[in-house]
Amino acid sequence: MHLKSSVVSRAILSAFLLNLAIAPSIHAASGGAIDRSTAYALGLLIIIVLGLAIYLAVAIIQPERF
Amino acid sequence: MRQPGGPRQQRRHTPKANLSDLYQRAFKEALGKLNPKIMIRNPVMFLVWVGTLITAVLTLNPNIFGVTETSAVFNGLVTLILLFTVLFANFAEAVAEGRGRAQADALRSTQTKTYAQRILADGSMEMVSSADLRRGDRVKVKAGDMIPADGEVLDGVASVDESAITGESAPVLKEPNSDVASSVTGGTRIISDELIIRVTADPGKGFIDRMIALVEGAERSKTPNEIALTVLLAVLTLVFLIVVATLPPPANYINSPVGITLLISLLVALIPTTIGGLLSAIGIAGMDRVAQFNVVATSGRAVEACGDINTLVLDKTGTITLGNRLAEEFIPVNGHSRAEVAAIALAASIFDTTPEGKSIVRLAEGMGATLDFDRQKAEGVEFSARTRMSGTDLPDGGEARKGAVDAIRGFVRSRGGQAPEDLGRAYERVSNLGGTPLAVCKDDDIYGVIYLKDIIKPGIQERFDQLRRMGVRTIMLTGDNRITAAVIAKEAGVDEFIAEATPEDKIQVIQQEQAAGKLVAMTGDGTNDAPALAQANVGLAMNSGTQAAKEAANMVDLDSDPTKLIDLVTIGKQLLITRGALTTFSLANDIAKYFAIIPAMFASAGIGSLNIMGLHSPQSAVLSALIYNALIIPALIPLALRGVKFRPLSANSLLQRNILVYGFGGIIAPFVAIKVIDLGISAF
Amino acid sequence: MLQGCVQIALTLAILVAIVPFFGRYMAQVFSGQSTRLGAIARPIERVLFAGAGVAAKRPMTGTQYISAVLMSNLVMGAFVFLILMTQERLPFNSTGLSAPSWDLALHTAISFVTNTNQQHYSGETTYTYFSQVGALGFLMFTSAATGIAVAIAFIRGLTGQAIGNFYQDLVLSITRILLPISLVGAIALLIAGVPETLGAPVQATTPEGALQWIARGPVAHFEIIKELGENGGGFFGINSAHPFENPNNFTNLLETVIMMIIPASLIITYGIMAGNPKQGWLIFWMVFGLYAILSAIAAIGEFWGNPLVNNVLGDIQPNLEGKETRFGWALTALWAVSTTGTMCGAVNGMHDSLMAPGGFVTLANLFLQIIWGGQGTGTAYLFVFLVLAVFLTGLMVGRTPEFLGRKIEKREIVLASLILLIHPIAILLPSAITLAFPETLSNISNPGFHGISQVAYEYASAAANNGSGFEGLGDNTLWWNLSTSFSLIAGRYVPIIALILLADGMTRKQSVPETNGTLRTDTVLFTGVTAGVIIILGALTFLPILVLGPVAEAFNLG
Repeated sequence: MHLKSSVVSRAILSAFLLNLAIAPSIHAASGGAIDRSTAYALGLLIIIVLGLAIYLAVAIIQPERF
Repeated sequence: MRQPGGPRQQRRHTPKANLSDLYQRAFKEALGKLNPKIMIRNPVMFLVWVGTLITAVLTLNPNIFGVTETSAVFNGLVTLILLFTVLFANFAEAVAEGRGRAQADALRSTQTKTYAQRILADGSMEMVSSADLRRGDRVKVKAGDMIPADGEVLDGVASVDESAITGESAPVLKEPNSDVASSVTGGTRIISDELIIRVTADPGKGFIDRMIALVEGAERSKTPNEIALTVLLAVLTLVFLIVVATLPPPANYINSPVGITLLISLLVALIPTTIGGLLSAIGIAGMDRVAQFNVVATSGRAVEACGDINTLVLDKTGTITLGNRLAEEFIPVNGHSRAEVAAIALAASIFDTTPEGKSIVRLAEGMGATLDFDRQKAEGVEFSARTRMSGTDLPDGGEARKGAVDAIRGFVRSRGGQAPEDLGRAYERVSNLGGTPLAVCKDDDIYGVIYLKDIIKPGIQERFDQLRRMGVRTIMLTGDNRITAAVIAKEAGVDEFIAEATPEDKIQVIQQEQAAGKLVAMTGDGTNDAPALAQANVGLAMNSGTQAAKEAANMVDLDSDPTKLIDLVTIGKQLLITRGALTTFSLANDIAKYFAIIPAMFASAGIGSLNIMGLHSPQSAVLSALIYNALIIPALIPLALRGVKFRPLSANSLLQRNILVYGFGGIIAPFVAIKVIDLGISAF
Repeated sequence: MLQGCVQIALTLAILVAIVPFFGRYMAQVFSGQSTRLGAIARPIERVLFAGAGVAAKRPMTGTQYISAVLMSNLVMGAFVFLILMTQERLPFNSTGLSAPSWDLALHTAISFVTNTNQQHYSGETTYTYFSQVGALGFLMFTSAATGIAVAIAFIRGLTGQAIGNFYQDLVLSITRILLPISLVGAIALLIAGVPETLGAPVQATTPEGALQWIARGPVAHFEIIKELGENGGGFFGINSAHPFENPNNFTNLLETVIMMIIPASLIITYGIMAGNPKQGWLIFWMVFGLYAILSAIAAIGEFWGNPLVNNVLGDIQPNLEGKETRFGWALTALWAVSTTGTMCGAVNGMHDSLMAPGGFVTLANLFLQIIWGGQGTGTAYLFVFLVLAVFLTGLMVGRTPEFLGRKIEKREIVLASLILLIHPIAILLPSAITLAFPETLSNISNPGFHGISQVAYEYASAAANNGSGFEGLGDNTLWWNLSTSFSLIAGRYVPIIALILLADGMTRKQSVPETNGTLRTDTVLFTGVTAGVIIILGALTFLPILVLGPVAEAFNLG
């Protein structure tokens, strides 16, 4: 698999943008039990896990690229 | 002239690779391989790498994902162990590559840039660097020169020292238009006379270059089995990612929340890091082993295919029997005396320079036969595949001939003669001894039969026996008659033989076998072997063979030893076994890791009885499992590089053995090791 | 104790006795050989094929087969959904039932078309006779037949034959297997006391003088296909624990055996169709062994009873909570293992009330999916595990792995992995979401470890197309209906697509002749290795959730 730096930076940017949607909903769903900064960290963690899952799915479907 | 097939230990001498400071260099490279762009090529280790980064963040701020019980020190320790897990895996790859590179360096040292005399279109010469030579260029080399590139001899006869690539010190004779002696390899040295060579490979595309690329791992593309295994490992990794990622909600539900560090630890322990970390090292080491055997493979796929071979198609001569048959006896027929036969045989062989011809001359002279004509006035008749005989046209107009019995019979008939009755008996007698009968005649009279004795290579029978146990069938091809072929086949222990075979038969046999779904390997050296070499799934060309044969084959043996095909089967199998065994081991290890980590994770849920290893504390349990997980990689590097020992057994007995060692061993070993590590940790 | 063991042993013995004959019969049906039933069935089939305009003899390609399965299931599901939504105005509505909520109707339709029959309702108070018999009963036949057809196509592909025609196999499964056995079985049940009537519920006066409505209906024929087709959707809410569905020990024996015969016999059918009966039997005994071990664990758990209760009693008493006393601990435990193993999903006692070992075993069955397994699909999954075992062990003998002479390569591993992957996705993901919001989503009745089992069980049952419920969940909610629908569809159609593609790919591979170097797959050693692969892969995936559910529960009880 070949990584272009433009792809990497775009992925990081979209992760943070996505987190803008996820983190507040975690904060809201917990009813305030999770504070805002933790919610952002957790949101980012969830995005990383999702990203890894997609990455592994690519590795399963196109193993030749690795 | 060197003969292939000397004792094994004398033949295995690839230029010695320089392995000093291999480990220091490998460790530096392991650090360099931490670059995410490189890490992402290995899905399993990439996950560990991401996990390491997250635990590193948790070391700086343990409560970033919410308040947990794990301390910064514990997180730091986990980070360190995970980092080492990644480093060890990178190290394994770097060591394998380093060994390959050392091998390549040794080869490359033979390949220093030289200058060559290029012959221009108008016949004039021009001094050029070997790097500027292109396919199709003609160059002239003379005694003392390095041959600048792979090529084909167009003109001249010279002896060449090929020890740089084969290790064989005896010089080799090179001459044009010969199947065995017309190709030269770049980097070898011409030690007498001079040659005109047509360059057949662009710079960087020669055999040595290919071998260097292969052992360095630079041009390593994944083999089909490796790809399938990569898929399986990625699937297991994804399954465990799902398992671990979905664990927090149920854990929170029973008020036994789990920290992110513990989740990452569990994930890393479960995903197949052992095989994931060693997979590429195994592949590179496999190529390296092939190179150590002095075989150039054009792809890893070809090496792997060797393990799958169902049928070996082997030439009798040079593979099963020693290259040269020697005249053993003269058998007179038609009322002639032994001395008469010897005299005619001598006359017919005096221009024959083949080893067989020379041995006939030796035997005849030993019996006191002499030439009764002037050699200068006689004329030699060369052997051809069509006439199947050779001989001498005598000064007095007589024609002395020797050759296949049928051919001579036809010759005599064409001269108005008759084949004597006792010819058939002599023919059968020789055939039944496994020898080759050659009839000798002068004009219309058959004098007798020469018994050419075939010598079966020592130990070959045992090797065929091993192959049979592995399920590989051997087919012997020979130009001999049926009886002789049957005798040799029986003695050598091949499964099947094809007598009176032509080169077309070879390709037909291969196609037949392939039509039945079998994978076929064969060796060859002549130009007329090229189509068959291309057709076979594994074609091993001899380095002494023609350029056409070498290009059609997917492997070239620098020692020109056809029996190496048997070693290649073993290497191919070993490669797959090592992958399979380590995968099984890696999976089996997970059971113990579960028993170490799960009770530690949910210590508050009252499942203490699951801690069957009696580990000291939840933290020491997690650390021990991770340390084991990290250490098992370097512990298995030697096995990955050397390969699992292969025994020529049937598939079922092999499975039984390997399941016992790597399956059950893989279940038990981590229980013991984790307990020991835990005892060590808790002592602090 | 002794009585219970004899009951279990007898049931298993009957199963083992039937399997060889039935397995051979199915092989004959699907290899186009003539059978005695053929004379009766053939004219019917001819009319059906002519009427449908199906060129039944023409084998399909993989994609044609898949689209045939998906399209036919979609049409049937939509048809049934419409019937359920309009049942108020349709005939045979003797109790005047109105239409259910859209999400319940949707869940019910999906659940029945996927051969799952997960019920978030009680049949007698939700659906009319017409809905139950006409719509759901129809799907019970077709969904079971779909499973058998897919299994046969898969077996054909593995053994190198063309995968066949979906419609032909679907019709054959019904006319030659499901319908004849159902006919005989329903009559047997009728004789044993199961009602079969279109009459409205009857009013009765209890000894205390209270008025009671007793629900009844056309139960007998519904009951038999429920078991035979691994459907499991009960006519009544409490399923086969109801005395009108399963009145006595004879019906219980009949129903237990009949729910296992198709998946168990299909293994033998495979052996015959592959020309290797020995391998069929080896796999059969492997599954039988796992089944026997799990049955023993569940039965012993029930026999030892609840330690908390035993402490009060000062004696060991079997756990009879949630059981019918006419069946007792042994037959309930055996039924529980059989129904979760075979993906039937009918229950004759409440799984929620099983002791922790029973909870463990039933969950483990749903996770593994191959202890007999679902109608057809279970047998196919068994071979997917075999393919994975071949891949691992094949490498270990130094050859490109082969199964039945065909090489296992990237494509096979990707497709087999898809089946391996979809199960945890369809179970663990929705379970995690549900448990993340327990107050809003889950409606759990028993909090703690047991609650985790309840939630995981519901999704496992949906994803494995089992349909039984751990019960104790308030599951007729929008969230449960829709989220389990996701698991139902993912657990049914993704594996079927992968199986057909796998089989189709294998058909086109050249077969490699067997040599000494070929790994034989019909040996005790290899079968044992396969069992190890199944257990390790299954255990590694689902151990954490099992630990948090039944295992923790067991430790905290003891």
